[in-house]
Amino acid sequence: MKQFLAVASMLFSTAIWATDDAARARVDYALNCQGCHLARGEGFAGKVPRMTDFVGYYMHSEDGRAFLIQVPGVALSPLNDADTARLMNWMLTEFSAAQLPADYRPYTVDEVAALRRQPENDPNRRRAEVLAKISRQLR
Amino acid sequence: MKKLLPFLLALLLLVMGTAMAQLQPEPMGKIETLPEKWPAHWVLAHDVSFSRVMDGRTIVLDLDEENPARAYKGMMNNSFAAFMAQATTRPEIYFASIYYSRGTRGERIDVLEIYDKQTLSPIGEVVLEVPRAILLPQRFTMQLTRDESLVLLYNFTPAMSVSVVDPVARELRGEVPTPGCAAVFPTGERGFSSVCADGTLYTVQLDADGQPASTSRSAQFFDAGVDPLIEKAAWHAGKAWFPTFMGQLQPVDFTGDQPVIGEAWSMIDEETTGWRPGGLAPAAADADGRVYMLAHPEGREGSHRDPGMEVWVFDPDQQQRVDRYELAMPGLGVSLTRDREAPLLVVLNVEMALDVYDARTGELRKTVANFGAETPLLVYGAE
Amino acid sequence: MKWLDRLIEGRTRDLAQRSSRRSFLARVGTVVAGSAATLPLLPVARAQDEGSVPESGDPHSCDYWRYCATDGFLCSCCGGSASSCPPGTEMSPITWIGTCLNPVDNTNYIISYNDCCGKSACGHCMCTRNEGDRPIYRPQLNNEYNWCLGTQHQTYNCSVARVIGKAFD
Repeated sequence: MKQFLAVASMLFSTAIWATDDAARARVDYALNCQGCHLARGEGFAGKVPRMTDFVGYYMHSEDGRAFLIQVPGVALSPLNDADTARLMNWMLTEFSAAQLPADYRPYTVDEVAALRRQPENDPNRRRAEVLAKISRQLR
Repeated sequence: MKKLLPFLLALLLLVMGTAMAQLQPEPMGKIETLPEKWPAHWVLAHDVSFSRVMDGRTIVLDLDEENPARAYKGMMNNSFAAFMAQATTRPEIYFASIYYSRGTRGERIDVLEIYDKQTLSPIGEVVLEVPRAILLPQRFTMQLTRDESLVLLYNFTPAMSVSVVDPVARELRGEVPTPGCAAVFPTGERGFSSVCADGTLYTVQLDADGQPASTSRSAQFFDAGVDPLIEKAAWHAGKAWFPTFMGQLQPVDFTGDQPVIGEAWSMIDEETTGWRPGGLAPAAADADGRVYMLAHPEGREGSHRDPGMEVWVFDPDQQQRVDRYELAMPGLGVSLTRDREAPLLVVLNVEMALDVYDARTGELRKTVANFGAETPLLVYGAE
Repeated sequence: MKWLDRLIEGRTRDLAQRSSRRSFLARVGTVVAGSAATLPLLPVARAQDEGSVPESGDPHSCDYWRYCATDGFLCSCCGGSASSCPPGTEMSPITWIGTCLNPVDNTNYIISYNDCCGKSACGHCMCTRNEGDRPIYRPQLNNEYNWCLGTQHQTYNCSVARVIGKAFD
């Protein structure tokens, strides 16, 4: 019984923590991304890349994983590394869970920290390259 | 008397006829022109016409002319909070305007317009493929490279980039992405830097065709989360002095191919605790490299564009304030004439008039008002 | 912009003439600060539903709580409201988003400052309060840009301040 309570309370606090995490990510998204990427990550054709039902594809390659952290909005964001990692992981499952690979693993804080120190200089060109490769891979 | 009248009338007509014959009619179609090199105390009042942005105009004023009517030398039209830049090696002025085919609606076209300084007329244009940024006017949205071979324009779509135009060949050279980095600061002979959100400078050197030859990022030198750098810098001969929200002055030397970031120091001392820089064009430098800064005494969150009550004069090499000028009317922008001998400090006041001060003493010389401008938010000393 | 505000209302000369220089400067300071002290607060009690935002203040006035980082003409004075655009304009979906403190429940709300576009400037109720505004290299927090991006025309008419959520403190 004691064990059960311990496990239950652990599960309970994890759930609360998870909800709180999502809520914070949602606010960080609103304040740092939503202005351009819009409320559900839908973006704007020709101006702002769409994330809804799409951003998960990037997780199919290491290059794609890196690119998502090296785009200027993420790499240069005022959020710290931990908040950035939380936001990215929330975004991937919230906007594009169906496109994630079976072996999807969330970003770690260290991974985000290392990648964002090397921001991408030509995001449009690199996006095209990364997506071309992934689409060949998925075909 | 009755007999005399016809005679007198005939005489009168004869006299009048002679007078008429002697009077040369003034020539039809005479248009004034201006000198190729403008006197040092001429300025350009860039009126973006804030509430009628399609009808911008830039007015040329002679600040030495005592008669206000004659101080007005002419004007140039431009549109939609146009970017503006002057060449020094060619008698040309550039505007980046936006036009809609139906005035406020229809097809949009962005165009770099080349004006001749003698005729104040457009002599050429380059159509811009990437829409330029639209924002409150400031100087570092359009600049010439130091060698004056290229014009650089800041774009925001909201992706950030810089358009490169050859103003001599009158051709668009391309678009350089500046991800997360805004504005253009000429760097080296043919390059530029932009200020980035992570507190760095992103520098691009261009080749003779205006294509990127090299790119680099500086080390982080400010923290926008703690004390944001204000990109509206004082500029003279390739050197910039950036104010920050909290009153630091950050020197950057852009004369070489890589910007050299100097040591920042505080413009605030015990006498001026609580003061902060403020305004739309808060900073300018004179030909001796002295920095003029608008400052206001009620610094707080959100006060970074409040009008200045004083202009402070700094010797940036000595990191010292050398003077404080109390303004006759709070100011939103400062600019300097180009001369060393008797430079004028022009302050755009909150009534949208130009207060002209002796830059060396801070003495108010005159106020230029009611010259046909609605919101001349930027004033440029003639190059 | 508050200075433009005063300019349009022709009040600067008035201020300069009536007040001593010292108090003039002080008043310019407070007017520019957008301080509530310079404009009467008109308390408007609103029915509070579950999930609605508790309201106070006058949405036609620059000191209204939601306008803490507005820089432009208030749509509420231009034929729209604090959250809707005037007739015949188009609301830009792309915008910048900040937070403002609601004095009623002392909670920070997330505010979306959408621009209404497609007609030239409304010219009525100019309002500039730059609280939370950051330079143009942080566009997600900047009000100097014309945010008519993603509309058919970039002509700027006025700005709304839509509440889109609650922020953490």
